Amino acid sequence: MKKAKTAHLEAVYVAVFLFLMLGISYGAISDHRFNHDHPYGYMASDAFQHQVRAESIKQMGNYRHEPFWAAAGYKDAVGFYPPVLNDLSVMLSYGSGAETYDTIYFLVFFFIALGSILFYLVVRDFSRNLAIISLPFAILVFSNNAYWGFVTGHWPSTMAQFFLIAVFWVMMRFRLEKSYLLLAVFVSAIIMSHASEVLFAVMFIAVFAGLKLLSKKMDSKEKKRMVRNLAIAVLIVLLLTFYFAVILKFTWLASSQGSMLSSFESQPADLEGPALVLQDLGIVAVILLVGVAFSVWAIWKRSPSGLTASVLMFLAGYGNHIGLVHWTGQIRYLWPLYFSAAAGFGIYSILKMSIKRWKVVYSFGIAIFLILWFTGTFGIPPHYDRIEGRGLMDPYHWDAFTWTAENTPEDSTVYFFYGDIFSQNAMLRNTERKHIMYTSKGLEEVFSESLVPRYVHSKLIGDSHGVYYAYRRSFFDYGYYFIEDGGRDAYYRYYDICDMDYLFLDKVSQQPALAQYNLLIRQELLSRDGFEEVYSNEVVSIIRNNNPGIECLPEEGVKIDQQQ
Amino acid sequence: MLQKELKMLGITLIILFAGFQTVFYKEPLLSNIRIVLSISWMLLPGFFCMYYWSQKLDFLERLVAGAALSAALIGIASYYVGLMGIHVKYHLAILPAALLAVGISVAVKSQKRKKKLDKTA
Repeated sequence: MKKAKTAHLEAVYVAVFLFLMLGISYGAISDHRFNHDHPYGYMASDAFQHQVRAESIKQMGNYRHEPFWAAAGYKDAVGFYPPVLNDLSVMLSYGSGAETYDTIYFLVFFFIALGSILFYLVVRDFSRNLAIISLPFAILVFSNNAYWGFVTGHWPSTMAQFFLIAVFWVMMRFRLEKSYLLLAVFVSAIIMSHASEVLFAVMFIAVFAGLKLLSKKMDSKEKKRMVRNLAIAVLIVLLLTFYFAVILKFTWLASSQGSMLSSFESQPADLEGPALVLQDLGIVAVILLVGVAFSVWAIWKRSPSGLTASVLMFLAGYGNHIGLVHWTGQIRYLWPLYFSAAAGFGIYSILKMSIKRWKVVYSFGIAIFLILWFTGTFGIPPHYDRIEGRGLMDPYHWDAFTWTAENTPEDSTVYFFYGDIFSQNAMLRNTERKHIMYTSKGLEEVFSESLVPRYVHSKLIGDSHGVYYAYRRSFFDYGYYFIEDGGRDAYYRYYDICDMDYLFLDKVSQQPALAQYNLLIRQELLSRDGFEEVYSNEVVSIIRNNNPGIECLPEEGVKIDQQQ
Repeated sequence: MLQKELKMLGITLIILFAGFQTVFYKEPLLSNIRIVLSISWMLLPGFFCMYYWSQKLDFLERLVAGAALSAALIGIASYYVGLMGIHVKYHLAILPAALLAVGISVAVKSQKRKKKLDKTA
């Protein structure tokens, strides 16, 4: 009866926590709506990168190729990005009726919340009381620099880390018959969500299995079975991921991304962006370090358990000191979730020294206190930082982008003049057209000379992502358009405005001089034959060039009076 | 036992809906119902596959791990099925159904195996 009561309490606790996590994060970001009329709460270019890719899969029906509008116009650039999150978001889009820009963002946070419950189960294997106490630490993934990663687009990594937690869980259950099937599926899912996290899966499996194999508590028959099961799991992983692994080999690993593996220098944790550091955690850092010490002792004395994952992932967060900053940066976004068990163990161990007969109600009491603390009720850091707001995208630009996608010929080229938000240029891919925009060099040149320019230093934009617009010649033979077509200089050069089909101008800006400049360009173009405004709202003007390829402006451009 | 678990799944769906309605309270009721049903359709088939281990794992564990299993298998399968030429718009109908069929088959066989073991015991 008592066991059933505890189980019911636990179920309620877990359910409430799941929705607490979702509510304080995506609930706040999304303004407590699932459906929006434009990408809502997107804070950086990378977020749009994933949104565009998911939407393109929905339109193309598959992910054989990158969409040409995200690949500088190339129609056969191989689909190279691990696809699991995108495919799930597309399916949810069809099922729920919501747009992919909503479903993909939702799934990121849903799987973080679900991942915290899964990690709870990892820890529960060691101790239910510890699991109850440590779960609230997961709230801190929505604090400080950790939170920033989720709103700026580190989404596929989050998906992969959810499956990484699943790997921890299944390794705790290695004695289950045929558990190698689960292990293989989860490791495969990591590779096909964001392959770099497989490093941590391998690390954990190696350490956990190594400790178990060295342990005297397992007989030789069990040890042989463990090794055999791991070997079978590896074979299944190869089978499930072989096709995509070939793509990874000839894209990510062949490119500049692959060179990240060869350097072992110590680098700052925030080299690639904001990163959660121990100092951000205040007094929790002290609790954590005490907990890590207790955990190491417990792992050594009792055998590997959920604490092993906690300690390992805490230490993995310092991988930047051996050249793994790219990986540890991603891990640090979920660091509080990982180290929750170690931190909780510190509290639990110290309190248990005084309270010999521990009751589960004490665990729930501590958990409630920690939840109140970490949600900011007491105002004592560290605690959750609420993020809300529309983000970068606004209805005017979104409407202009979608208008372009729906109303212009597929082979059109769109040119973007200055816009405040266009530096986050992945969003421009929502025009679903090949697109080119000013470089800062180009803007500086023409603005300082007060020109409506004919030739502007600009860039042909796409997601080369360091994989050089790879395309497949045959299964094991790839070409790279970026290299074959002349490298960076082929994309960053002077372009002729008269060759463009559509010209995109922002009419307003935080920098009034630049908005004024755009309006003067617009005025000059519309005064000339061959240009007509085909779209306009309060913020954006789109001008069509009816004679692309024909001289439309003097070679030297047209001087304009910026004092008008 | 399977009937009891189906009842618990029903309660889970209600809790899911209540949670969603709380988090997305500005979303219309019918929209939230549709979202919850879609997510459940995608993630619950794995629970049935996990029934194979029902003697060793409790309901909560099989539910959460099953959701991970569903997400993994359906996500991976969707990629490959798309490459084979089946448009992604059909994947939501086909893939969870296929996984559910496997899962139900596993659940029924596990149930029969358990009854057989109980009888011999």
